[in-house]
Amino acid sequence: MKTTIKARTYVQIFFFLFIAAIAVNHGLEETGQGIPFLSAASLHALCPFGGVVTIYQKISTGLFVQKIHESSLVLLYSVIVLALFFGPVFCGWVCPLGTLQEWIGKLGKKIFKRKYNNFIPYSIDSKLRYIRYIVLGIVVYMTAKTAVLLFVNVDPYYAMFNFWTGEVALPALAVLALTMAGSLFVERPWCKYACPFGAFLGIFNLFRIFQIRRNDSTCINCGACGKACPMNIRVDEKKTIRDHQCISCMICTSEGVCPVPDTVELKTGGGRDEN
Amino acid sequence: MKIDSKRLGFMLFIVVFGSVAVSSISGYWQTESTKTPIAFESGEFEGMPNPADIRGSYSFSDVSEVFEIPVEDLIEAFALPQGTDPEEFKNKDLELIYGELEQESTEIGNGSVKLFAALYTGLPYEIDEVTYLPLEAVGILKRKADLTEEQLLYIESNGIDVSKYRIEENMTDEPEEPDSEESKDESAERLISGKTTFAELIEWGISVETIESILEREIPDESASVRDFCTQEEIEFSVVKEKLQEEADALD
Repeated sequence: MKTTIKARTYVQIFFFLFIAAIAVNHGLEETGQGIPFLSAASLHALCPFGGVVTIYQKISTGLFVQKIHESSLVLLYSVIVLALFFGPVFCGWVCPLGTLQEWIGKLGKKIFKRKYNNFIPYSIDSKLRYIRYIVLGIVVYMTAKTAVLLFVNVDPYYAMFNFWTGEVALPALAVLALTMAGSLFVERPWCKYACPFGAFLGIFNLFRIFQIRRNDSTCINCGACGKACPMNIRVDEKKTIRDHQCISCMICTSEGVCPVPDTVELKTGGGRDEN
Repeated sequence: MKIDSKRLGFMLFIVVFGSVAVSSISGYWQTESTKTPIAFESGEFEGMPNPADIRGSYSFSDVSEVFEIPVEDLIEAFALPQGTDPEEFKNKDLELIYGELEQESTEIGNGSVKLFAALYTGLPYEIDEVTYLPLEAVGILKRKADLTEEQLLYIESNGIDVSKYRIEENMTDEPEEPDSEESKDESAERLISGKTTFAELIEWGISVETIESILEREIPDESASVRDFCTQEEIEFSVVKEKLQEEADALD
């Protein structure tokens, strides 16, 4: 049984190191020691969520929110194209904060074994998952109202790659610390409960073209797919996954934990015959 | 149709880096401000630069060039020394120089430059929060700009005598006194400003105990700036700064 998808691991490592290198280079360039041939853009310029928060401002006034540039919109569009086809693949494959949480989670799994990622009862947990939509609403509203990137003051992603610069607000460092500590108990706590960008991309799970689909006729009902899902989605109880929390990690598929070939797959489907 | 993880990873790279490549080639990809604010798209001022898009990273030269405001007026308006290099001085630097104003819940910064540029040129600008100007800027606008009564009333009621709040050591472009003695150089480096951190104070030789006795609190994080800490703890920064400066001077 494979609990990791090699291609995804390589992509995650690549983007983690790539963004970290750019963040370091941004600091180096300010001191005149930048690394040639590597972007020295600020993290704000390379965050597709910046595109989400600036859209209202861009449409209503033609201006970008402070610190946001055209690059954020370009990245947002590319992430939306990916989400239309494959869902929040950005969350599961690219986002360095998601990757960091997964790496810490590996330690949590070793410590708590089966209890890991199962501390919160499902009935409560499933409701907590909607908090991130409240966060999304507040962030978009506040940014539209003030035209200032207020989210940066609590953004753990910005804190993760800038904690050494002295530019990070204390609440952001606290949220990062809380996220890292929480990752020892729950897989991807920030993604599940608070990430506004994850909330936005999660909506695409409802109508994405390629869905995670379980073939009922070949399924042996071992439940491995549901147990392995980092987002606690009960894959084994559904034929097509349209859960807003799916991150397209593919761990549940026959390439991952599913022991039967061609049974759980990322594929286009033939109608809404599921669930 | 199904897709496996390798193809998905490949598609991801193609879409992300393809978008970056296409937008770079088309000239849309920008990761920093172009130093040219967007223009009004319609109406009386169509094609004119929009002061609302002035960024903190613009230098005084950028503002001067785009809005046709003489740099001398900008330097005088924001009460900067005559030797200030307009190519190097950025709007956001005002927040460092007038950082002490934070304690009065006011600010002279990029917003002030936007307002000044808009009023000076007569371009439309919507003020979404109270914006302050140095008295010098108010004087220039009264002399040179064509203000409405409402605008005049606004700038007069929001003019600030900034001389009381200026953090001299943050005015990096002031002409430097020639100084050959190394000890004096070191002493000059020990000037406490809005950016000075606790770690720097300790590095200079001021003991943690001394700092904590002045603050009457423990230092929570040595990397924090003294001013940020004071703001957070609602302590008068100027009082703390004066006492710490005495300690720093005594190190010589």
